[in-house]
Amino acid sequence: MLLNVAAVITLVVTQQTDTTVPVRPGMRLDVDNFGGEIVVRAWNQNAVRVQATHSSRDRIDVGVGSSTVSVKAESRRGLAQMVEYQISAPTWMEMNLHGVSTDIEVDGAQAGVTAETVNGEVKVRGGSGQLSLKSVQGAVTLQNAKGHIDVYTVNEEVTLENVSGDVTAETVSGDISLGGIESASVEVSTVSGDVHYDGTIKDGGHYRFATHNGDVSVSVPERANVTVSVATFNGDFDSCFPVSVTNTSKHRFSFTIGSGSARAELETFNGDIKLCRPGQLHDKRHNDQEDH
Amino acid sequence: MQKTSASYDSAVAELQGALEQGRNSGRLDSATVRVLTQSLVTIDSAIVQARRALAADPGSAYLNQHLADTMRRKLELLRRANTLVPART
Repeated sequence: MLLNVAAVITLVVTQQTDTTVPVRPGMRLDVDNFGGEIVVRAWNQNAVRVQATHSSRDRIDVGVGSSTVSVKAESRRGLAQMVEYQISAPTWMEMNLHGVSTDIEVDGAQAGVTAETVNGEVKVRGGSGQLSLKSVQGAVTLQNAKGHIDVYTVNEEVTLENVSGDVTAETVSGDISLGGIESASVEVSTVSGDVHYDGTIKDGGHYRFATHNGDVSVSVPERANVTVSVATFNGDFDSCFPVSVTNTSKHRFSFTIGSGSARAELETFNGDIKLCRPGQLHDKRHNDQEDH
Repeated sequence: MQKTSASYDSAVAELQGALEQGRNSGRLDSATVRVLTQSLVTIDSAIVQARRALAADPGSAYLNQHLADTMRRKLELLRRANTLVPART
């Protein structure tokens, strides 16, 4: 009995590690964590501070190379399992964050971010340049970022807010919601979920919003110049403003707004397609939800 | 067209075999495999629906494109599944 109690006490002992290392502009932060969380907050110091809560069996290894700071856990008995990282890193520092059963959160970065996990959420506020956020079982959220944006999950929703740059967003089972977007290239697709877009339609831009089971709602600014192609197999089309259909085939039709220089493809196999002005979609979605 | 379909089926079979190996060897944990399997079922269901619709309306450009896109999604998911970080438990 005494032995069992001692064993339990041994298992629950946690340890704190707090290490700060100096860094130079151009260096990258690499973090690898099997389970737990990685939280990175950007600060205005040329240093990386790693605070970690982990089992006393594990040791946190902060390695400084010529171009990278790498953070990982090592265990005296097998592989390290659960580590909660709170990391402060310079705003200019690129990040490469990997986990398996790990939630990942980044706040305030002004450089590229790669964040990939298998079971866990990815939330990033800020970022610039290459932004690649991926999960399998977990929602992915990106806010206040700019650059080349690639977000992917398998089984949850994708949310982008106040983002500018080329955007690719994909999930299999989940909604995709994009608000406050400034982009000339947006590619969004889900298999089972709704798609919502509220953002710019730039001259010469290309926009594609597709789902198999779900509704598609897109805002078109007043002075947009866009050729819109709409396709639905089982569903209706609804617009908050008048449109003149110019080209019709079975399951698909198109119309032009302004000069039509941008191209927008709106597709759903089972679902409705709605077009409104910026700001109207939120009201319309809210009203539709109340009706249900 | 038949050649394309055969190579697609072959690629899907190969990737599904690799996924099965990952499951059996414990390289992928059971929760992840469950999520991936459910997602493959979701995509397969969409493919079946698109195929049925296309059989009734073979000339539809939208349905042809939609079926091709959905089949591509399945391949991509299988490819991604086979590049996942190995589970350590």
